[in-house]
Amino acid sequence: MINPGGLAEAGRIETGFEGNSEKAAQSYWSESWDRLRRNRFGMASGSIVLVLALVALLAPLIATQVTHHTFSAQDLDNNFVGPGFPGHLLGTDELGRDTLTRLVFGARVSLGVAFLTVAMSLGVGTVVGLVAGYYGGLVDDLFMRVVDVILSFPRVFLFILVGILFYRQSGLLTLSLTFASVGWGGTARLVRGEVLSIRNRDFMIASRAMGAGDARLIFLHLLPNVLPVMIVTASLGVGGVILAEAAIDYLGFGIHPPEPSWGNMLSGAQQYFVHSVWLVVLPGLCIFITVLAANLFGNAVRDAFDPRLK
Amino acid sequence: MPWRYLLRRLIAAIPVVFGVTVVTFVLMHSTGGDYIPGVNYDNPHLSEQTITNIRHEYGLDKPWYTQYLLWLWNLAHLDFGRSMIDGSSVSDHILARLPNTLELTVAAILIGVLISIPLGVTSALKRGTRIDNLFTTLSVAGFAVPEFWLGLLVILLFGVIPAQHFGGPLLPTSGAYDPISSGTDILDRLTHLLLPATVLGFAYLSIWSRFTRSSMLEVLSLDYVRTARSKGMSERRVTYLHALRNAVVPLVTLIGLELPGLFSGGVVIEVVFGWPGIGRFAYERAVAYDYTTVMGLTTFAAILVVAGNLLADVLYATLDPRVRYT
Repeated sequence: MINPGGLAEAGRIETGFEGNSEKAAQSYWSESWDRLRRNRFGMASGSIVLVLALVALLAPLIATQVTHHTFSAQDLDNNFVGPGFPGHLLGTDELGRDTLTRLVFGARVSLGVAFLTVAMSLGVGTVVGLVAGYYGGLVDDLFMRVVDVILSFPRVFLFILVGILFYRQSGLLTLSLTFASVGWGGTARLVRGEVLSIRNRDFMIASRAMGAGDARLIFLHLLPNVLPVMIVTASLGVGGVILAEAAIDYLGFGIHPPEPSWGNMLSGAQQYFVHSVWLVVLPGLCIFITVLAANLFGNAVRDAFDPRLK
Repeated sequence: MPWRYLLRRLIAAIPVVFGVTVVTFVLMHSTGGDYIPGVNYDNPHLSEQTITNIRHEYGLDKPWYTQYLLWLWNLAHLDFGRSMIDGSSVSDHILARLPNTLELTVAAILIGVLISIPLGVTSALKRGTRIDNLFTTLSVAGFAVPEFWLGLLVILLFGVIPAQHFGGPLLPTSGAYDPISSGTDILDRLTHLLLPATVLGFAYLSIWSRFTRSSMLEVLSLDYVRTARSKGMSERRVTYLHALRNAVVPLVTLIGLELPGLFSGGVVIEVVFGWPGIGRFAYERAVAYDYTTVMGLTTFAAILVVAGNLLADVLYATLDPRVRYT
C-alpha cells in the first residue's frame, strides 16, 4: 500500500547510505509531481482541461467580447446556418441562437457540475471512509451497508426521480448535490480500504502511545496518507460526472432550456437531424473532448501518484 | 458449500433492498408526497370534502409510517404500486416491458463480451506492439464517448443518411420490432436489436477489454502456464485452452458490478432508440410527473441490480474453485 511518509523515509535512508548519490532525496510529493510533469501527454490533457475551465469561468466575457451574442439572443433571419457563417462562427440553431456562445456556456454547466460534484463526493466520502476505517466495528458495518445501498442504486432512475421531485430547484447546485449524494460511496469505500491498511502501522501505534487523540490521529496522521487515493479518485471522477450530467440533461431532467448545456442542446437538436447535422455533432464533440482530456489527465495523475496501480 | 454461500449472500442482500426502499420513500415523501397530477389544490371549485376524498382515495391521509409499511407490504407481494395518472398497476407495466429490457441488456453484455475478450487477448499477446497501443488508445477514447450521442450518430449513419440517399434506412433505428409483424418474426427482432445493443455494449468494451488484457497478462505469468509450456504444449493450446479460461473468470464479477451502470445506460439508450423497455417507460412517466410509477420502477430496478450482483457473485464462486464460501 502506498505510504508517502514511508517512501520518503526509504529515500532518505538510501541516500544516507550511498552518500555520494547525485540525486537529492525527494519527498513523495515532489517525486510524484516530477513524474506527472514528465508525462507530456498527461500534461497536455491537463492543459486542455484548464483551458476549458477558463473558458467556462469567462463565459460571459467571451459572449460580450468574442462572439457578441448572448446565449438566448435569437436571430430568426439566420437560423440553421452552418459553421463559418459571418457573425456566427459555429452556426446557429432553430431559433438562430449562436451555437458557439451556447457551447461556451454549456462548458460552465458541464465543468461546474463535475468539479462541484467531485469536491462534494470527495469531502463526504473521505470523512466517512476515515471514520469507518478508523473506528471499525459497528460504525464501519453501518457506513458500509449504506454505501452498499448507494452503489446498488441504478443511478439514472434516481436522477430522474430527483429531477422531477425537485424540478423547480433545478440548477447547477441541485444537480451536483444529486450526483454527489451517490458519488461519495465509491470514494468512501476506497478511503476506508486505505485506512484499514495503515491504521495499525507502527507510526499510528506510536502516535497513540504518545497520547494522540482520535481526531489528531485521523486528521493529522491518516488523512495525509490517504491523500494520494483522494487525488487519484478525484481526477478520475471528473469525466464520469460530465457524461452522467450530459445524459440527464439530454433526457430533460437536469438544466432546463433556455439555459444551454451540452446535453440539452443535443436533445433540442436531434429533431433537426435531417438538415442540421452540425447541431448534433458539435455538443457531442465538446463532451467527448472534455471527458477524454479529463480521463487522460486522470490516468496521468494516477500513474504519477500511485505507481502500483499502473 | 454453494447453497450455504447462496443463502448467506441472500441474507446480506436484504438490508440493501430495504435501504433502497427507504431512500425512495423518503425522497417521495419529503417533496411531492402530497401532489396528485391533475389536482390543483388552489382550485376554488374544489370543495374541502372532495380534496379529503381524493387524498383518502390515494391513501395520502394516513401517517407516513403507515404509508411506508403499506407500500412495503405490497412490495413483498410484488406489487410495485399504482400509477398516479391512470391508476394502472406498475407491476403489470413492468411485466409487459421487462422481457424487452432484458433482451437489450443481455444482448449488450453478449456483444460487449464477444468483442472485448478477443481484443483484450490480442492486446495481451502482442503486449507493447503497435496493435496493443492502438487498442489502448481506442479504449481510452471509447470510454469518453457519451452513449446517447453515439446512439444519435449511429441513427444518423444507419438510418437518416441511407434514407436520404438510398431510399431507406440500412437498419431499423427505432422500436423493438416492426409493428406490422407484431414481434413474432425473430429476424425482424434481431435487426431491431442490433444497433441499440451494440451502442449499449460499446461503453463496456473499453473496460472489459482492458480488464481481459491485464487478467490475461497475469495468468500468462503463472506457474501452471509455464508448466504447460515446458511440457511442450503448443503456444496456441496454452493460450486458449489453459490461460484464457482462467483469465476470463474474474470478468464475471466485473460484469455483475457494472449492472447498475448497464441499467442506467439502458434508460438513455432505450429513449434514444425508442426501445419499449422499462427505462423508456420510466422516462415517459417521469415526463408526465407520474411520481408513484417512477418510484415503483426505481425500486424494481434497484432490486434487479442487487439480484444481478448476487448472481454474478454466485457464478464467480462456482466458476473459480479457489473462492472459499465464507
